[in-house]
Amino acid sequence: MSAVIDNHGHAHGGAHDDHGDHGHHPSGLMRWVTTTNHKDIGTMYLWFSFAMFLVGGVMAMVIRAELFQPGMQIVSPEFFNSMTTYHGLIMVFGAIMPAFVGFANWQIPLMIGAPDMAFPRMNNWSFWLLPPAAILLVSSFLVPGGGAGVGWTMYAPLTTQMGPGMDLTIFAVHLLGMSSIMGSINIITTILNLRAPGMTLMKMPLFVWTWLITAYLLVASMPVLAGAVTMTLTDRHFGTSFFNAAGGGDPVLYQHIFWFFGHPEVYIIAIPAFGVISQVIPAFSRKPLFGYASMVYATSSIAILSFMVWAHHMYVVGMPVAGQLYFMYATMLIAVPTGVKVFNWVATMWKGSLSFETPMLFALGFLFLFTLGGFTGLVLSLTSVDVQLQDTYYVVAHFHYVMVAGALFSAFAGVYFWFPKWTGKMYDETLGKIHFWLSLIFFNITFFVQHFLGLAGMPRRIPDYNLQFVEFNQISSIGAFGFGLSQLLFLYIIIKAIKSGEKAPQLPWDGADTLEWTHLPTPAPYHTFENPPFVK
Amino acid sequence: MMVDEVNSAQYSVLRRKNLRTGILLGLFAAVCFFGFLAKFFLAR
Repeated sequence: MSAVIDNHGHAHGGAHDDHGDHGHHPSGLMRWVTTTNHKDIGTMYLWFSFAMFLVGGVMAMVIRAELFQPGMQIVSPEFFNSMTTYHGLIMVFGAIMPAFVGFANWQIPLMIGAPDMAFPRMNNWSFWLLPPAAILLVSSFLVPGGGAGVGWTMYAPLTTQMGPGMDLTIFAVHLLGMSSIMGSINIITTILNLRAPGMTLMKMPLFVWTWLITAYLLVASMPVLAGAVTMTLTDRHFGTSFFNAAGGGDPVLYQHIFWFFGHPEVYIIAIPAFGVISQVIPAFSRKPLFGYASMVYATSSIAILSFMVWAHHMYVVGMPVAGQLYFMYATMLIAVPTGVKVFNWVATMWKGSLSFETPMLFALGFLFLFTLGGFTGLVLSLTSVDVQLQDTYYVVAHFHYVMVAGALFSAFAGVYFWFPKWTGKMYDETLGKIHFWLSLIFFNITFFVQHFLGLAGMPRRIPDYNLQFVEFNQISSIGAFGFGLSQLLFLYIIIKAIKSGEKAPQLPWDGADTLEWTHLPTPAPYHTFENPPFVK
Repeated sequence: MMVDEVNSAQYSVLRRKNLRTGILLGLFAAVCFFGFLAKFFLAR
């Protein structure tokens, strides 16, 4: 919106007259550093997240290379621990979350008929906090003691025993948290205040709804993570003993605090993914979304329940049976609204005029595999089963089905779906389909076998393993290398499309019916909806 | 496209409304963070 106000500053007493030229904005690097345009910032988020996806992906390759054979081959155990730690942190905070914030920046103003985000300068700041955080994370490998080997959950008391790399990681988490909180304040304010006339809450596209709910989750849970890592910092340097048993503290307290953030975090990642899928499936089914209102209520229910189930991540810490029962039943309850959503997506396709372009393929991949990941989550919610499976590869397989086949596939679906609107170019459909099939096949080769490893008792986060696990680990590593290489194809597809892609038609997907498709040219111009549309 | 006077007035009202919403949400996040820390520091 600042762009609009800046460009017409004379109406506000000439405070911004120096920006009077509508087309004038800095070029080159300064354009990206100073931009307050939601499209520019969305683009930066998406490229940043892809860069971090590659960094985190390289770390995954190191992990899988080491696990290709039993015994120690390539890296030291300490470095292996750092790899699992930063792979998790970078993928969650650096890749997946910024990717969906990128979608939010691009799409929310376009979908609700707003000229920009509500706080464009804060939007710029939210993004530009991310590169310093990424530098802090990666540079923790360069300080004495190397990167922290504590796992992405940063459990005490390990965190109080690490070198200065841990401090850099804590500061990075602070920055990432600040960025997320500011981003979510911006998103909530934009959605509540800047909707076009006639765009009531229950007329908003579901992607916008999912982001509204996610932003509330972020505002409520991110300060808890920031508090947890601040307490870790004071334990390390300022003489407190919150998590140190020797000083009267309790390491289990950290786990409670972390997972009070950590479980909503799972849905912070999953719910915007649901939103993308809820736009893609109706567009390629050429039908309105089945059960719109129930989707909104189901998503809200999932969000509320996500704050009530945190201790299912820590059944084995020594919890009363009543506590275990409560957390087990509460966790199982989440399957109900999630089931409603899956049913609605399937019912949307029922008797639809389906076509299977790349976005739809990724959405279907999401639907099958996320449901599988949800189902193994249900298995893990059973206390008696979890006692056996916790900290095994079954858990690793479970959350990669949720994070990769869920969130990442949804992000790919979103990029292919909105790419024509963003760039005015079409990607190569054949290559896109090849990208999907390679990703689907290699993903399952990598992670499906990890269920068996976990059921057989292979522990996670350990660089060595017994001989009986060799075959499945080798299959998994081959799958991982294939999956990693397949993502370079994605980069090629995007660059090729930007450089020499065919011109996109005004409406490339004839089932798409949200404002960005019906009210805007393709590609979307730099400034959109300076005068809001009227929504019937 | 020029924003007319009516729109400008609407935008300044909107800007105040945005600020109010943003400050409220920011306060909520700040209370979550500092309240959370205060709880543990005071209970020490």
